[in-house]
Amino acid sequence: MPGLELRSVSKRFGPLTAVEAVNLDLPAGKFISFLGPSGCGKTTLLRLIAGLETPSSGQVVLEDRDITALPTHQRNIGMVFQSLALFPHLNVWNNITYGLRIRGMPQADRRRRAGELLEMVRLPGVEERDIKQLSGGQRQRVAIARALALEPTLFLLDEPLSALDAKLREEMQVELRMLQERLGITTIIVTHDQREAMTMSDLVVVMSTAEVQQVGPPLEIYRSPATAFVADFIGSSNLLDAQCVDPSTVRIGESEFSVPSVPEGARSGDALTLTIRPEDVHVLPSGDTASNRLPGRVSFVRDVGASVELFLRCGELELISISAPKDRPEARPGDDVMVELPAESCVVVRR
Amino acid sequence: MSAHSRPRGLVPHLPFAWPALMLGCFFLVPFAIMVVVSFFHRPESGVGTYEVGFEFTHYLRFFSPLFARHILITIEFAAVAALLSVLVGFPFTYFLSRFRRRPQVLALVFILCVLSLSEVIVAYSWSVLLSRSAGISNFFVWLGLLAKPASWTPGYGAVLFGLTYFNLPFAVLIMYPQCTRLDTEITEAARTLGASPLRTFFTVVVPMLWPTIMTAAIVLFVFTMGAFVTPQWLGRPQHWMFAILISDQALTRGNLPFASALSMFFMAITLALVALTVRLGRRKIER
Repeated sequence: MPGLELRSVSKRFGPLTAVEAVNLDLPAGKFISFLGPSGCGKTTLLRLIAGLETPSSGQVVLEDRDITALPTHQRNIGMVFQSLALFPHLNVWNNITYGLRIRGMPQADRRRRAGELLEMVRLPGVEERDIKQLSGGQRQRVAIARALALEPTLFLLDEPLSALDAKLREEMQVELRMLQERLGITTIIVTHDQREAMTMSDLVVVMSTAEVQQVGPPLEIYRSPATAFVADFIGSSNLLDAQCVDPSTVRIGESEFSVPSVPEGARSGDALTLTIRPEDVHVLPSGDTASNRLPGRVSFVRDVGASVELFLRCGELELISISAPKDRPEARPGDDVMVELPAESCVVVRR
Repeated sequence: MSAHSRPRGLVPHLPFAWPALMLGCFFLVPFAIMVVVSFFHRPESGVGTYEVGFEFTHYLRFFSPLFARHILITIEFAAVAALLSVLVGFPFTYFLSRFRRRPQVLALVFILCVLSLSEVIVAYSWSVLLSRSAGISNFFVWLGLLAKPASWTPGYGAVLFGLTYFNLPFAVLIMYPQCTRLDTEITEAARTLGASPLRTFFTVVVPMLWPTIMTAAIVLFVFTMGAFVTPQWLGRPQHWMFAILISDQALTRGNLPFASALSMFFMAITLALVALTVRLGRRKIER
């Protein structure tokens, strides 16, 4: 089924480029996250899809139809805004069925539909309440119900959970995902929280400075980041400056490391970045030399209960290793150790 | 000791002394004098004189067709001019508040400039512009819109136009702060729900800013009730609003007790109308 396609879409605000030549092909019926730090252009991209901004160049194509010039109110999209943007002058059920009233649905039918939608977002019985009488989480649900009332082709959410406390946020993430799976609606959520993107999405679009860095399923993005930015932004990573030696070897300082591969077209002497997740860095007793290992010293130990973080210094390099409490290495600050970077866990990207 | 106990002694109450003094000297005392004078006796022949007394003569004079007519035209002018200024001013202010910062500031500076013009200058300028000899009708003739120059002043339309023109900057300044506070995401939400920009304006913007619109209308109504220069310059004697009548009694005819009584009556009517409007406005919001 054809979904949403962006063809070299750019958006400039005066001298500022918010979105630069973005090409995306997003399949229908999936849950997609636009993930990136603030100011990376992810919200602008969402607003371009909604028609709230007009692209400076490029096309937005929905279900094989060019909607670039179509005004927002004719696009049949449902959107949840960061501020939720509920209408303060209307009560809950009139908020939810605002779009249905615009379409001319009779009042009795609207009233019934509001009940169904509230049932769907698991907030029944608040039809007559004022928006001011609802808690943050309840408002969230009303905003979702309102956005879905018109059975839109696209469901867009602009950092909708950022105002909720951590516990409620996690509950809503799971619930949103279940709702999306049940309705099978193409959903795009904008977030700066990588955990949120990981738990909910089929597909993550990582953005930085107006450009798309990588598109892929959450695990793929986590396991094989395409750029140093993605590696750093998704979870924490050790980023080490490296030099290409041959297609399966890089040099870091004086030592050589075997790696699964180097970026396509990298030649001997090219500057690269070796990335490795902290949980993949192993700490072994000192003197246990082998390939892909280098000697170092523990500079700090941070025990956070669920995991133990070791801050390591290997000559010029600084590394972090994370392990579960039961695998905790026998090391204290100041101890000399051997640090292993297993070849299969190393991902080499261009610098 | 309770933390909420009332402050004792003179010092904690001193901050209230200044407004109390100002209100007392410049409002309460003159007002009391006016109330007392409105019951005084005025001898038949004595221009500008009155004698201490207590009589309802001046109040009973209201029940004449002349004053009824003038109070009605005053209310009509004030209501219609307030309505027109809000009708023109609200869309203007709202769309201005959606502009970028710079054009907004420029427009507001311009509006403040218009505001700094005195009513005399505004009324006089319009009496020239609406006249046959040098007015804008000559321009319309040149454009081919009119066959020959017309004289639009003095007249009902000219008064209304002058009052509305004078009110407009006030309307904008009263409504501007609330307009800028309206979150753009609210109107965007309406658009994603299928409302055209026009529908959004009438189903979201107007209802949300209704209290502001009402406030502006009431303030301008009260403000216009006291109009003096504009109806005198742009209107015929039958268009004279109540303030002109009061000044006529006080200054030309020297009947201070009657002028005081008229002022009292005028104030009572204005207050009653404001109370009515506020009540009607509130009902509209609750609905």
